[in-house]
Amino acid sequence: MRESLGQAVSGGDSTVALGGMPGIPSRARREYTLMVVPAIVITILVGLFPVLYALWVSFHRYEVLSPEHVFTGWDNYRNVLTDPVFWQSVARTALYVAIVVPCETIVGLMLAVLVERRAWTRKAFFPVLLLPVLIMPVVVGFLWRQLWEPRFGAVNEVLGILLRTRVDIPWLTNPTAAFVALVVTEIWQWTPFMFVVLLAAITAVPEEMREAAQVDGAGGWAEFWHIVLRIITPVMVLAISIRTLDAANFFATVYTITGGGPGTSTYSLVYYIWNLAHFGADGTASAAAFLFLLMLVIPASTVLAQIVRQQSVHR
Amino acid sequence: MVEALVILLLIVAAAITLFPIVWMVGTAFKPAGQYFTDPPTWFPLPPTFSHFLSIPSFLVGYRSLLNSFVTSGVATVISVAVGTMAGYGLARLREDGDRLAIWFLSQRMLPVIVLVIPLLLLIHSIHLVDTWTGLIIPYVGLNVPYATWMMRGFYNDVPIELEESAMLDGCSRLSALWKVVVPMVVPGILSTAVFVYIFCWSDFLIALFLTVRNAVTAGVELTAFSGGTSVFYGELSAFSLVSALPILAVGLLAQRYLVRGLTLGAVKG
Repeated sequence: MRESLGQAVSGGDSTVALGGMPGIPSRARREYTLMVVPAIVITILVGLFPVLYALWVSFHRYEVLSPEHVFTGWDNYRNVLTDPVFWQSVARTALYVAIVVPCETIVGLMLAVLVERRAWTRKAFFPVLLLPVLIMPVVVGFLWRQLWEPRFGAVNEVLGILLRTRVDIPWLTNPTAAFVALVVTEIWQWTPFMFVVLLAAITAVPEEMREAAQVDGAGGWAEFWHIVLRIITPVMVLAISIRTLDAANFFATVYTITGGGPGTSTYSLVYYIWNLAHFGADGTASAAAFLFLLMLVIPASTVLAQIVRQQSVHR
Repeated sequence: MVEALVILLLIVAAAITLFPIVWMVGTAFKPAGQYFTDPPTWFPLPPTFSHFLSIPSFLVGYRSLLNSFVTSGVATVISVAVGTMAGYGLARLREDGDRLAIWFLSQRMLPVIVLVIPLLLLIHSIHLVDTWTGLIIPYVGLNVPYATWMMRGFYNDVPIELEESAMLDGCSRLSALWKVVVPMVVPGILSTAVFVYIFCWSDFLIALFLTVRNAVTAGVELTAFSGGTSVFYGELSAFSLVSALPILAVGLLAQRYLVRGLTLGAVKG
């Protein structure tokens, strides 16, 4: 039935693929491809071409104001790779990601498990716990900037109330404290992402599986969740991959809360690159950006593979 | 007993989530002397609207909202339009469109900082820095791949038989798409539009690089309230409140599709 439909509709020659299912008639194929062309053109112009241009820029001494573009070979790359601040930024970004992603995952999972239990908790707590993810990162940064203010800032004040003593942690002027401040801010903003995704995953676990787990004498709560956890693992891995990639790009919090300071002690990789570009060293900034890109290729491909695998499961 | 503990934990989580937001709202209405006091001033007494009124004296004031609104809006319309058509083509091409689709998806993984430096140089050379168009171009370029990928996912859920019977009745492929298929993916189009809009409105890096004064967006405007040593917390909070509301409203409206958009279509939620 389907094959005859295909032939009647296409009007052109139809190709029959192996297995008996009709392939896409060539006229239809042309029309479909045509529809994709604008998207391809735009993506090449704004997505691919600038990247290639940046590669070219990274091999020159390039300043926006000066018309001179001197070819400098590997100089820019050498400058970046021998800059201790660059490596500190790399290490700091790696440490940052290594801390925030597990924290967000564990807390997010906990919240999802707790909220999922009853319909009323879902209705009541979901919109509230979701909020931080919907606030612009810049706003979140400035929001927390005010809280981290050392002198009578809300964090020190609340800590003081809880610990019944005067608390005067120099959040913005001490490198370690500043790092902690950034980490906490990030966790506050992005745990809801994990929460929302994991909640959806847990909710999607078919009722029969849950009942079966309990009937099979899966002794108690722990056994039951052991099974649910196994089922949601693919989604959890996906969410962790996406979050890792996004966290590695952290910039807004650094810009708004610490300005990279004190000194350069809270530079993230993106902030480091921004700083180079901000002071006109576009060639060096592009070189650093490409090194950054190189470092992210593996995590990015992992995310890509995860998403594709998840999508094909649903096909 | 366990019930009570669970509720308690959730309330604590809700409190931690809401506290900074509530504090910001409070500061927006606090007279300047009450920002940082010991003990802290929990409620602004008396509340003042002066911060909202003094916003125009910082950079471009409320005009930044207009800039954000226009650039995000136009970019969203264009991206979703292109993506809706391209996504359909890719979905119907089935396996032949897979590699192309993955290429589109991979664009989303590209760190923005790599793009933004050459974009500044390129847009500078066509004299579009600090203009609406100068922002719309990158926004469209970055969101077309995402919109295409998302729409492809939605079209995959629509069986091809629908268009085929429409075409048997005499429609051309394009009008079959328009009359029969598109109505079925309207929720998908809307949710994709919401995410593209949120992405554009929340952008900071691109706007930071590509605007100076005239086309400054809400995000960049926010940086005007903090200068070196002094931060105008009242005005900052007031403007934060105003600029955060649009996405909050839009995001809450699209709750149902939140998970799908956040996970790039991998989780249907």
